[in-house]
Amino acid sequence: MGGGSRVKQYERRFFEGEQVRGEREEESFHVLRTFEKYEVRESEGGGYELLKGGEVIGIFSEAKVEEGRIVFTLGKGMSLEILERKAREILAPGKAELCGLIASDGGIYINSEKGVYEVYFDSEDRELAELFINLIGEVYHETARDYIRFEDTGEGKKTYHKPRIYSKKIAYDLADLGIKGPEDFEFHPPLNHLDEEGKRAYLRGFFSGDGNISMTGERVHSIRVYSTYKEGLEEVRQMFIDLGFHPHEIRTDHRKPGWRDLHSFTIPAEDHLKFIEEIGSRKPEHVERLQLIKIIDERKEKD
Amino acid sequence: MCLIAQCQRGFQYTGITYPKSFCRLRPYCPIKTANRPSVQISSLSKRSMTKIGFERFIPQIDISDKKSWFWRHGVELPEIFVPLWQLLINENLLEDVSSKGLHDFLGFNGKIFLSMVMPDELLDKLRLKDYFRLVENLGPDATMIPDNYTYVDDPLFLSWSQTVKLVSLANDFLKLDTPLIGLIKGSNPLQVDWAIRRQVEMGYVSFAMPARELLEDNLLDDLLPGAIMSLKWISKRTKTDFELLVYGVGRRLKYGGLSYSNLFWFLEAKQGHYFKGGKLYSFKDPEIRFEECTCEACRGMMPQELIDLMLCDKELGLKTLALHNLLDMNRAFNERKVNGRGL
Repeated sequence: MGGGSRVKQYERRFFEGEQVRGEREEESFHVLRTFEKYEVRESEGGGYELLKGGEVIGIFSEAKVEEGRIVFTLGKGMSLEILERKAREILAPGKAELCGLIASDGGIYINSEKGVYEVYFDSEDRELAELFINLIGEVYHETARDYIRFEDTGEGKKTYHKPRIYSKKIAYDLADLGIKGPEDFEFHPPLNHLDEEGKRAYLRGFFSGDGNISMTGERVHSIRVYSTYKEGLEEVRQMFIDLGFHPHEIRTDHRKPGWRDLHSFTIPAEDHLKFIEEIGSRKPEHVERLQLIKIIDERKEKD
Repeated sequence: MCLIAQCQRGFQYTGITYPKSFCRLRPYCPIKTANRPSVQISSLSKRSMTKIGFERFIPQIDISDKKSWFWRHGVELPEIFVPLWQLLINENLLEDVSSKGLHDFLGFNGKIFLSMVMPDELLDKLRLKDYFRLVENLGPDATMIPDNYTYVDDPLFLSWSQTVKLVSLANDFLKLDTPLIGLIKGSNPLQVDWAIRRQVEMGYVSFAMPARELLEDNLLDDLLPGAIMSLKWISKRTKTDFELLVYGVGRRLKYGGLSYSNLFWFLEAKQGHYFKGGKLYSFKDPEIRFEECTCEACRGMMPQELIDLMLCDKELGLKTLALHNLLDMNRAFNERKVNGRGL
């Protein structure tokens, strides 16, 4: 069967959360954690088994044991989170960040008739384009390609990075999460599949694309999240609240005729350090300004 | 990087080509030295063969899952592929099929082709006499020659060793009475071309190219055009007709004159996916959800009705969807539209 890449084939066959039954019965196990509905036991030979009602429902090679939950690694950037009474599939931080990036400045284009399955991201920042490519590689083990365009604008020539991956598997996987579309600019965070770490990663990805940090006065900065799709932005704001932030209400700027209204909310100054520590941004311009805010805030505290 | 070419330039690699007395490439080394002559590959036998006569689309079946035995549900297609590995991982099934033969076991009246495309760990276990015994017991109408593994990210000497092994087994298989299907494998165009030429020398005229992984890794367009060109070029020179089957690809490629075989029609049905015009749709897709289908399996049902059927009777719903996918794929592959130049 072997053809193509040996590394990729190995990943496809053995890192996709395959369930292997049979010979493992003779191995010895010890119970790692018991939940109300589930039991997790660890094999001496390596690997973990998830049991429900005494029956093995999954075998996994990796597990992360935390207080109140156990997280198993599945394929395609997903993890299985076992809580006291329920189990759910959650997005690993890398995939959550990828979803955030796509929600802000990317998209998913599926045209079954023409056989086009495209996941894309557009940015002026090479770093964000590279981040998109790296995240696609990390999550799906596939390589996106960066298409660079030079466009003349009023401010001179600008370079646009347009990384794309053409893959039905990836397009459907992301589309099934409902992160973008079906209407233009519409997006929704996959709230049912995000734990706290995932929410932070999603917000980092989203803010890198649709965030803004500006100086509004002497030693005063504004951290703003904006979008033309108000419902999605409301969900993003709610995620900040869930994580203990105190974002201001959404305000709407009516723009010139033919332009969509721009909605935005800001993070209050008292939450700036928390934002820097927990969320941050991947956009180089943001990173510089966040460092500046941190320095100013630390000086203010000293004063 | 060709290690033999590097060796000729004076670069050697400890553990592979150095020290010379332990060089792992000695069995293939074409370079004559003062102490020994260049290695000549033992002469190949030859057998006169005729084309198998591949249909445009030959469904693969899952021999362990009777839901994929479409002829039991009234759909008639003349040829199928049965993957050998499905039998090798199930001893009881293998025993049962070996005692009856494929035709009697399946109750299929068309041609049954045996696919040797299988996971690497199974390939390494089988010896020549095992292959011969299996083919004799199963009694297929034609069989592929044994598969090999040629990865693009392995050192070239590994893929060359495997390519030489493929040709060597193709030579050994000439002793079988069963019609044979050559394999097109290789990690680069040179290996593909070399393997094709050696097999053509032995008389092979029907070829299969396992392509699923190549397509997934975006490598198929690097190798398939070269394989087609090699066959066309040899065909022109030797005035011989060849046929080529792309194995494991679920959609029509841009090259004309190819045949296809896959199990996607069944695998995708199990995932609840629906084919229309040879393209895959999610059941939820509004583009197809409320469009009636007049195929033999659906008889006027629309996908929404198939969803309802699955909810009432899962088995019947899955069977109907699998048959629909099979018929649609067969129709799509048989359309006379050719987008590009092929064989």
